[in-house]
Amino acid sequence: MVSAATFHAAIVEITIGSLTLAVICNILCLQFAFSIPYDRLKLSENMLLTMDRAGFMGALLGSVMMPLAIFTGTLSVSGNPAGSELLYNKFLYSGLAFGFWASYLIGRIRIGSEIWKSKKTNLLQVITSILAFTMTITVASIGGKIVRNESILDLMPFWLPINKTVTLSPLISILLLIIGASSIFIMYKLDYSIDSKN
Amino acid sequence: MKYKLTIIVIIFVLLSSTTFSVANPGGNGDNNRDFTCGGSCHGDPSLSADSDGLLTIEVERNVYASNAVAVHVTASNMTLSNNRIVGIFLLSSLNGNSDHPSDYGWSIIQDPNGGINNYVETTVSSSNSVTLTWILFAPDEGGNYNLYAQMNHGHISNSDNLAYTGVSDPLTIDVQTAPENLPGFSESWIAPEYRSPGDSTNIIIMTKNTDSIQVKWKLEGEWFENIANASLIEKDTWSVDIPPTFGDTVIQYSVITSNGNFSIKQPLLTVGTSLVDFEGSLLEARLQSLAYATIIIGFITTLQLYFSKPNIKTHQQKSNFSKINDDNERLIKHPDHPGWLWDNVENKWVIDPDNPPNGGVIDG
Repeated sequence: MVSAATFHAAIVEITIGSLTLAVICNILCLQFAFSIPYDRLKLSENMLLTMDRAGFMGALLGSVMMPLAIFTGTLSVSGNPAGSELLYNKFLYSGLAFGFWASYLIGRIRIGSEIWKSKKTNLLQVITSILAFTMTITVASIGGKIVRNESILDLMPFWLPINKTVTLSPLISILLLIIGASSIFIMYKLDYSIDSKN
Repeated sequence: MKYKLTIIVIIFVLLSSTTFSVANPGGNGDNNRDFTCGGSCHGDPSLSADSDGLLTIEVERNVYASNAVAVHVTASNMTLSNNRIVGIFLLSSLNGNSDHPSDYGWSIIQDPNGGINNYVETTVSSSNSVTLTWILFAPDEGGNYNLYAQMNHGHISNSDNLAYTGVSDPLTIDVQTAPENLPGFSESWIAPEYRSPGDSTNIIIMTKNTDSIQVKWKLEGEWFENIANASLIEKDTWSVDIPPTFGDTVIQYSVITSNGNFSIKQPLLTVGTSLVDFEGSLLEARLQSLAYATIIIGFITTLQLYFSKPNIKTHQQKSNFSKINDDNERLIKHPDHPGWLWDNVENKWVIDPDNPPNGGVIDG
């Protein structure tokens, strides 16, 4: 019988690998809107389109695998966020990572590859994916801390706080949830009405 | 080709560097363990090596059966790994099983970290020497008993990932039969390990053959001792008033147990301050995580919309402007007919609302 921990290890590798590929491709997609001074590093239009597609597929695969990674992780590690700030943070950073990756994907699906053509949307998309990746490896780092009491991020001079957390009252969380959901709804209505007028 | 080669070299260097961090440097935590953890890496001859450190074990004074005794273990001069963690055992034999002091009649009142374990881990300072003290109850029967100390640690240059270990010489302790009516701690008493921050409740001490106690306390690292108020709750049970602590404060306290015949100074004990309990729940974590995700999605997708439709506002402004412009092109002023505008669409004269003829007075 294969344990949940083995599944978790495999799924995390797929997730992190896909998202790493995605963030690298997205950074290279900066060339759609920004010229770089080194000719040797310039990519052709076809190569940039490939980068866009690879980044998109990597993020899509990573985002699909992320809930599975969270699920198998929950099964494989006996732990409850009650009483552990580290585990509590794992939940929070998972939410942030999912939020950033979902935003990246929504933007890419709604606007298509045209999103890279404008400097503002290009930069927003790259920053979103970098933040998403930062949150993702922070979650992975917390896993390493829990299991091995160390992570590769220990080598970094500074990183996001993982040993201390901020807890919100459930009521405030629900309020934030409503505000977030409302803003998504209003954004879609606005987008629809603009498209209708045009 | 040159760039491909460079990339291959970088990947090779990155993959090679992973071997430098392969180890189990974090220790395994305080616990009750047999010699070499009963066949762990530190006990396996193919995976372990002898420590270059020195390990000594000693007791302070005469040891009486069923009475408290302090056992000091000093580890020094060992070459440690970067995290400078060393794990130290207090053992009664080196068989690999049933080595715990309790297997030979001893019982642990307090380990060096405040708990009741025979294996503890500690970080060694740059002086490269550490002394740990176990407070034990001696066995009930008199006689000669052996105690050993063992240490496990890593090594700073450890390319073979070996687990280093060292064992002390045996310390043979002559446990003497206790005099009749010797005052001391009760065998059923468990010394408190921690108190909550700000906890002002008294510490309970249980004794035997004791008519009175005197308790002195001091903060760890300080020399000035304070006398604590001790009151008898019931026979051989004492309530001791030690001030509340915060942060990582540790209080050391010594107890003198007395009766009409003896007055015995017991080994120094410690009580630490526990961390503040974290009160987050699973529901809170899930809700907060979901709230963060929706807020992030809402914020970024709105930014995407704002940046991707920059012509919304300008388009609207342009529409209004062209309407005004259209009106202006439709109505044309003529210098020969002040107060009137020529409507190009209707092909007739209309009154200029801004400059009506005759100042707006209409002739009857």
